Amino acid sequence: MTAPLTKDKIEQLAPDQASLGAALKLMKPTSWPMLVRNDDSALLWGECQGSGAAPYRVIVSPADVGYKCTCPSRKFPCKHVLAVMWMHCESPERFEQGSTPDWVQDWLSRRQRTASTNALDVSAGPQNKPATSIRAALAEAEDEEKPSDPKAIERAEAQRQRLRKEREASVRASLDDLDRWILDQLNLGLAGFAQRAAQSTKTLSTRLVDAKAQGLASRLEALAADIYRVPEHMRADLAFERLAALSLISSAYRHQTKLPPPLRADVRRVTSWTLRREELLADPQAPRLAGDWIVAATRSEVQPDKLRRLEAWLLHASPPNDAPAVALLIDFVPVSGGSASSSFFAGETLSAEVVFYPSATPLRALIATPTPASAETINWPGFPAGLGAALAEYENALARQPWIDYWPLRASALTVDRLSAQQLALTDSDGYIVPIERAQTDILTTLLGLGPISALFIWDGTSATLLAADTSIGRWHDT
Amino acid sequence: MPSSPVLSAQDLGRVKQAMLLGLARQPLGIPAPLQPLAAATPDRDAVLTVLALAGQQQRFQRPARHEGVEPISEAARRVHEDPRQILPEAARRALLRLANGVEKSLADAVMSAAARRVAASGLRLHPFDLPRLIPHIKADARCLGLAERAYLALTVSREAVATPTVLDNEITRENWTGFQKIHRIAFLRDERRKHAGGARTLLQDVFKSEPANVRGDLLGALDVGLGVDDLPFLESLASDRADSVRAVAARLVAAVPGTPAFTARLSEAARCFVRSSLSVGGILKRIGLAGTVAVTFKPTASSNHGERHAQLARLFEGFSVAEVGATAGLTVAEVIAAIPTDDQAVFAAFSQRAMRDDDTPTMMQLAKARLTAAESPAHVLAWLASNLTEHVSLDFGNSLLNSDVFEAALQRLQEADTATAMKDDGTLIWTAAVLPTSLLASFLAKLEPLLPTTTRAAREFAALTLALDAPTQRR
Repeated sequence: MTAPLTKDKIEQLAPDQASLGAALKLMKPTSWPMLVRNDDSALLWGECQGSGAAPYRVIVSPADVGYKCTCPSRKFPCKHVLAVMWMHCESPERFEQGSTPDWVQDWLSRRQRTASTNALDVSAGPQNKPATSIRAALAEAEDEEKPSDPKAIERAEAQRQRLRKEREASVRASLDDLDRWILDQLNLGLAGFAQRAAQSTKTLSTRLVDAKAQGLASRLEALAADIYRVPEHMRADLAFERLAALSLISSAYRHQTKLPPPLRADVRRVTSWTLRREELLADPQAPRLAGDWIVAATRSEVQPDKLRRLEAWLLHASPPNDAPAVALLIDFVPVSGGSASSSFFAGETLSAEVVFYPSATPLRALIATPTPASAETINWPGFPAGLGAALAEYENALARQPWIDYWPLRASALTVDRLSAQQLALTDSDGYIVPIERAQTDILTTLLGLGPISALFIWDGTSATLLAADTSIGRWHDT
Repeated sequence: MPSSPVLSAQDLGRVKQAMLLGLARQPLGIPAPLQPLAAATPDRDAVLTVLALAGQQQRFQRPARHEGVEPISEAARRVHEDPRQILPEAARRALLRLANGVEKSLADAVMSAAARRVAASGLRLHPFDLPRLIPHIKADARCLGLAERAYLALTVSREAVATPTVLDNEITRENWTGFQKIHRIAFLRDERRKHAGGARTLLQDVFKSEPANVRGDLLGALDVGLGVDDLPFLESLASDRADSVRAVAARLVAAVPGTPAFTARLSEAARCFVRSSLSVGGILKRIGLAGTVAVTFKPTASSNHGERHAQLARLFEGFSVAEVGATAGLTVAEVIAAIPTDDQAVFAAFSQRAMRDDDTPTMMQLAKARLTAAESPAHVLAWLASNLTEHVSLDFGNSLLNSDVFEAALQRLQEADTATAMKDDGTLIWTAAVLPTSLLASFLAKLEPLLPTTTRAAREFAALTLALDAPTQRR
């Protein structure tokens, strides 16, 4: 595809020996959920899960040794770029052939094609920097793998335990704050909660962030935003249910040792403790499901914390009994980074193994074994007929994890009907009626008058958001 | 719900009422069924336990059943009753990728051109894509078939539902007054081409009942097939109550062929084209240009550029190349070749007339002449794409792809070193839009050296055309 990258070149490029050592540590497959090459554009790119919410995106042009990484490192090239180059030298088979996504195209278009002034002139050799060597990095890595001083290990472990205990204490103290705040709201009355929600939740959420209870803080911020998304007559009910859920979480966290492990994982995650991507990928206990998946919908939403939440909803083509039929992939990118879209295209299909975050109601997931997406159509899976069974599925999920905000439901033999000028609904022959989110009214009018449809939709207890539908004239996808 | 609710409806109502009003005003009595649970968590305020359980119980309430739904409206049904077939899936994907990738400033024009390509293939857009595409194409009557009009009636212009004829499959002499203005103008022009007098009568019958702005625009459609038979009606409008209508009528009267004013103006326009004398030819021959200019354009217009433009625009307004050529004793090709490439006014006048007459050969000849200019061909191609009812001829397409101006545009994009300069100014996308299918392969080959981001939209347009023309992919 391109002029081969050699280890010599990489050694010359590396800013220092430490960078090569760090790159070597990054070469684990779990660090790179995505490694792609494109022979047409002669580019390599990948995503490396760093400590941030969004993975670092790395692009390398082997032909002129140009590169770009989204990490904040001030070393050029950074360890991520070096790792991609190194992996390409050593294990080119790890790079899947794929088409260039928008973010790669954007970088490409910004580059001057002729002048590679930004790319390093490898042939010129190192200038004013100590010699770097891959061999030395390998030797260092070998040294590090050897058992070091047992006392040092003990000290490091003790330090980790101490920090963990401090964080636990901090989170528990923040739960006391939360309880007090809920009681204050109840004393004031939830009828007027909407008017004071923005200010009141902001003060508490700041304290929760300081106390490392980021999950609770996000829930509070979402409540302040959501309260104005529902009609006025539903606001008090929304506050009632959301505060009830927060109260449940608070109580569950305090008594987490009595909870079954999946639910315990849920309450810890929803409060404060996140699971890193590589931890999940390396967890043999995490539920996994392989097979053909339909990308049912891609959604993008800006959160109150200025992160854009990119969702891809995957629907398994033939889920085994009792296995999750739907997987939700979530990425976060900073809003300040400009427009961003999911790397998936609604309607495409992929064959992949998906690993779910441990949960009483597995839904959020990661792709464990990425494969190139395909435009080929696969059969729409069979769904239970009518809304009754779907609503029972929601209740079942709610019973298993009481604080879920929404749940994906599947039902067939439905029609889209109009309740009023601005309100559509999913209905079935048993007389069940599920109102559809008003924001979808215009885009779903084209489903009015179609015969029975089979639909995947999110249900939050009051309104449905259609994700995808199989109809007599083809599939509808939310994008 | 997995089991029967713990709280009765009355208990739940009481709990909610207290919490909504505020416990400071209405203290909460712990409902009896929850007292054991509250007692089991002595470390916590019982109110929080009650809130958690009551709120959770409420979440299990199912939505109401047997609420009335409105019957499916005619517009909703008509979206799916359009007799045209839906475009094939490959074309649909290309169309959506085009919509996602096209430059925003070009989006309306490009998506309209794409929708016209779909319509020209006898197909229609997928109904599910209408929410995405309608904002781009709603102003172009040529893109709006039954399904599109029905969707607009459902969403963008809900008032149109009150006029049921908008949901008729075809616009006819019987129902044309029920359609929106853009459709009525297009219909009237078509009718004028078929039977000028009959179309005028159609308009006359409803003219007085229309509001002023509609009257003026509908009247403007009479410029197609204008003749002396139209004079009585046009002259009667000199007393119309609206200034705008009187102005349109006066403009049309001046453009009626056969009138003394028209004939005098045509003669003056024809005199601008002068066949070169032999002596001039000799000079040109010596400098190597002999034979390239047989006719020269020598208007007696002001030397001031702005004044000259206005004078020529007035002089040539409404004339076709053929009319001027016949009066001057020249062929169409000679007239077009004589117009200086930097003269906008005469080109514009001839182009307007060719568009109005749907005169594809003249439109292409005019465009070909303009493509020799040094500037980007984008605007000429955009004009062609927006006004041709079909793609350009094979000969024109070949000339375009091999022209210096097109090669120069490719060269500029290839050598661009800024993000702005790397963007297609429209040359590529409009070329893709006007070319016949058989030339798309060589067009795509010419794009190879360019960056994918520069060529993405043009490639998608080409993919759309190829998919539309692939008979095996049709449903």
